[in-house]
Amino acid sequence: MSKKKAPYAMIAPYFILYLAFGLFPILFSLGVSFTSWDGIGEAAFVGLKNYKRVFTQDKFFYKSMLNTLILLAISTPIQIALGLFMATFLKDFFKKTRNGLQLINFLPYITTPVAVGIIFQLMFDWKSGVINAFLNLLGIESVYWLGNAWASRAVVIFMIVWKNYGYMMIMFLSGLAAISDELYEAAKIDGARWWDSFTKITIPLLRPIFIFVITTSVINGFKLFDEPQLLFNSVSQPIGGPDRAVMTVVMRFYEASFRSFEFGYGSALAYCLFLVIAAASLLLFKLIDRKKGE
Amino acid sequence: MVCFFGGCRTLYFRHRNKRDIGKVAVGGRDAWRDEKEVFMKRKLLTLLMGAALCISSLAGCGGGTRTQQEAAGETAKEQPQQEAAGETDEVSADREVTIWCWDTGDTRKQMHDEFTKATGIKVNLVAVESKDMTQKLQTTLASGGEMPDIAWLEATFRGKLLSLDIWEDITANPYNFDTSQVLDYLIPLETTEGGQYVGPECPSVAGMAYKRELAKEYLGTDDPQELEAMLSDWDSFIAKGKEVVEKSNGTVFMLPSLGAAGQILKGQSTEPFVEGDKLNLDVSMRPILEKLLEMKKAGMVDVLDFSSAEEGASYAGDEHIFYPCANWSLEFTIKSNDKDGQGRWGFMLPPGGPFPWGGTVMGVPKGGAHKEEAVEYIRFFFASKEGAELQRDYKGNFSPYKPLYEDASFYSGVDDYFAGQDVLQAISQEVFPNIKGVRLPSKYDQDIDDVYNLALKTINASVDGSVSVDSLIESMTDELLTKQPDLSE
Repeated sequence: MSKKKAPYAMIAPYFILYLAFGLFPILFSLGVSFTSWDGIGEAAFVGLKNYKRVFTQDKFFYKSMLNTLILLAISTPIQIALGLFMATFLKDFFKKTRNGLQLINFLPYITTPVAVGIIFQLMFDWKSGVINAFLNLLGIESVYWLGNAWASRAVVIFMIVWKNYGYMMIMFLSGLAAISDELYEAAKIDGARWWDSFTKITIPLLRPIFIFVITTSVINGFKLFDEPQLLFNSVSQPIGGPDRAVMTVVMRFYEASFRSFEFGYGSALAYCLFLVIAAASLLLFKLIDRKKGE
Repeated sequence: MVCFFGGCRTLYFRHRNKRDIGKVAVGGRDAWRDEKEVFMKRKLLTLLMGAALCISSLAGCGGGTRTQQEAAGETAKEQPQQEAAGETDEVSADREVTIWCWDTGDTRKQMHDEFTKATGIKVNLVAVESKDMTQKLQTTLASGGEMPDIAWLEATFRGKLLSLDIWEDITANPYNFDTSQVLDYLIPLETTEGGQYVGPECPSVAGMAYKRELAKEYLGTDDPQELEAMLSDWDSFIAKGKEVVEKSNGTVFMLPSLGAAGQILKGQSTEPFVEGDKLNLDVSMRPILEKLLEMKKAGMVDVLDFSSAEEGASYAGDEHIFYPCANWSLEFTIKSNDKDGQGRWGFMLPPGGPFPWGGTVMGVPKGGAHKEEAVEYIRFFFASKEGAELQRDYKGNFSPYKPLYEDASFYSGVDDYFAGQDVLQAISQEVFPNIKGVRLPSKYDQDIDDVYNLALKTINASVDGSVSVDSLIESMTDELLTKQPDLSE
C-alpha cells in the first residue's frame, strides 16, 4: 500500500463504524420522524404531523420536560457540590486513606443500574423498607416514597446524586492535582484559613473542571432514563411513577417508540429532545463566555 | 494475526541476508546463488504458510455461514450431501421447531424430550421475556432476521401482538387446526380482529386461595364451601373485611394489595374498556374503582404493591388471608413463596365467581421456517390427550382440549399445601364451568393497564380512600386520549 493511502486505511475503520452506527441511524431516524410507522408495515409519509403532535397535543411531552428540568435543577448542584467537597476533603484531610476512600465513593458510579434500581425499590418500600423502619425508630410515620409525586422525585434525586457524585469527585481530584501547592503555602503564610484558600484559590482555578462537569451534567440530565425507569419497572407500576412525577423526556420517547410502537412519533420526540439539549448547551456556553468576558 | 507472523519471518530472513553477506563474498558466485535460492525457497514457504493460514481463516468464516444457512433451512442442495456423509440425525435436524418463550426450564425441556420421542421433532427454546416479545419480533422482521416457528403471546401484550399482521391462521390450509375441540371461551381470545385464529393456549383461570389458620381465627371456618357461602358477593366480602379489621386491630387484612382485589374484579367483568375507537371507562372501569375505593375506606386491604417482592414475601406471613389464585399460581406463586406452607392453604371460588387470569397464546409467525412442524407441536400439546397428560404432569398446566373435561378424574390429585384438598379437580370441575365470559383483547390493553396502575397508586396513596371515582375516570380518560389520539370519549 502506498504511503499516501496508508493513513486513510488506518482511520477508515472508525469512519466506517461511525457511518454505519452513528450517522446512518441519525439520518434514518430523521426520515422516520416524518412518517407514521409501526416497525412492520409500510411507513406512511405524514410530513410535520408528528412534530405538530409533540408541541400541540402531547401533554406528556411538556410534563416530562418539566419533570426532567426539576430533577436536573435539584440534582446537578447537589452532586457537583458533594463531589467538590469530597475531593477537597480527601486531598486536604485524608492523605493516607485517600485511595481507599476514593474507591468507596466511586463504587456507586460503576454499580449496575438494574441492581441500583432493585436496591432502592427495597430500601424505599412503604411497608418493609429500611428507610421507613429508621424513620419509625425516630417516631416518624412511614412515608409512601414510591406512591407520592414529590417523595418519588426525592428518591430519584437521591439515586442520581448517590450514583454520580463519585464521578464528580474524580473529576475535581484531577483538577486539584493540577493546582500548585505553592499557592496554598503562600496563602497560609499570608494568614489565609482553609475556607479562604478554598474560595479564593481552589474554586477559581477549578473553573475548567466546573465548565466540563456542569455541561456534561446538563446533557446527561436531559437524557435521564435509567434511575426513574428502574424504580418503577415492575408490572404493576405506572410508567413514570405516581402522577407521572418522574417521567422524563427519554422515558416518554421510549414509551412511544417501544411500547406503543409509534416509531415515527418516537423519532420526532427524540429530535425535539435533541433541539432542547442543543439549545440548553448553547445557552450554557453563552453564559460561561459572558462570565469569562467579565 | 496471520500477516503479523508472516511479516516477522520476512524480517528475519532480511536480517540474516545482511548478516551473511560476508560469507557469501568469500564463497564466491555459486555459494551466493545457493544462498539466494535457499532464501527464495524460505520466502516462498513463508508466503505459502501465510496464505494457508489466511485461507483456513476464511474457510472458518465460510463454515459459519454454511451452518447459519442450514439452520435457516435454505440450503436444500446441501442436504443430500449430508445424508451421503452418513449423518444419523438428519431427520430430527430437519424436523424441528424454534420457540421464543420465557420458560426454558428443565421440566419444559423434559416435556419436550417426550414430544421428540413421540414425533421426531426437535424443539429449540429461545428465552425471550414476555414484555420484550413484541419488540423482538418487530426488530427481527425489520432486520430480516430468522423468525421463530412459535412465539408465546402473553395476555397483557396479546392485544397489541394480535393486531400485528404477522400470524398464520392455523385453521386454514395446509394446517387445518380444528377449533371445535378447543374450550369455547378461549377462541375469541385467540382470534384477531380480522377473524384469523392465531393459536391455542393453556386455559388460565383463577379462584381464591386463603390461609386456613387465619380464616378459621377471623372468619370462624376454613372449609371452602362454608367460606364460599359466607363470601358469595363483594358486599358480604367487604362487610366481613370490616369485622376482620376490627377483630385484629388492623393487623390482619383480607387482601395484600389493591391490585390483588382489582385483578379479581377486572377478571370478572367482561365489559370492554374500548369499543371500536371509543373509550368505555364509565361502564367498564367505574364499578371496579368504586369497589376498590370501598375496600380502601374499610382498611381491609393492605398497601403492598401488586406482584411486588414484598407481596411475594407476604405469602409466608400471617397478615393477609386471601389471594387471587390462578391454576399456575399453585406452583409459581404459592409454593415458591411459602416454602414451608404445607397444609396452610385452602382454595375457593371468590366473591362474584371465578375469572380468567393470564394465558399465553401459541402464535405461528408467517415468516417461520418450520410452520407445519409448529402446528404439529401445537396439535400435540393442545389438542390431544397425550400432550395434555405431559402438560399436566410436567408443568401442572390445563389443556384447552374440550373432551378431557368430561372425565372428572383427568385433573385430580390431593395437594399437601392445600391440606389434602383436590385443587386440580376444583379448578377443572368448578372453575371452568363457571367462567362467565372474557374481555376481548385490544391493542390498547397496555395503555389501559398503565392508567389503571396509576389510578391504583392514587387510591393507595390517598388517606382512607379520600379520592373520587369521577376524578380518577377523568384523569384516565385524559391520559388515554393524549397517548392515543385516535381514541375518542
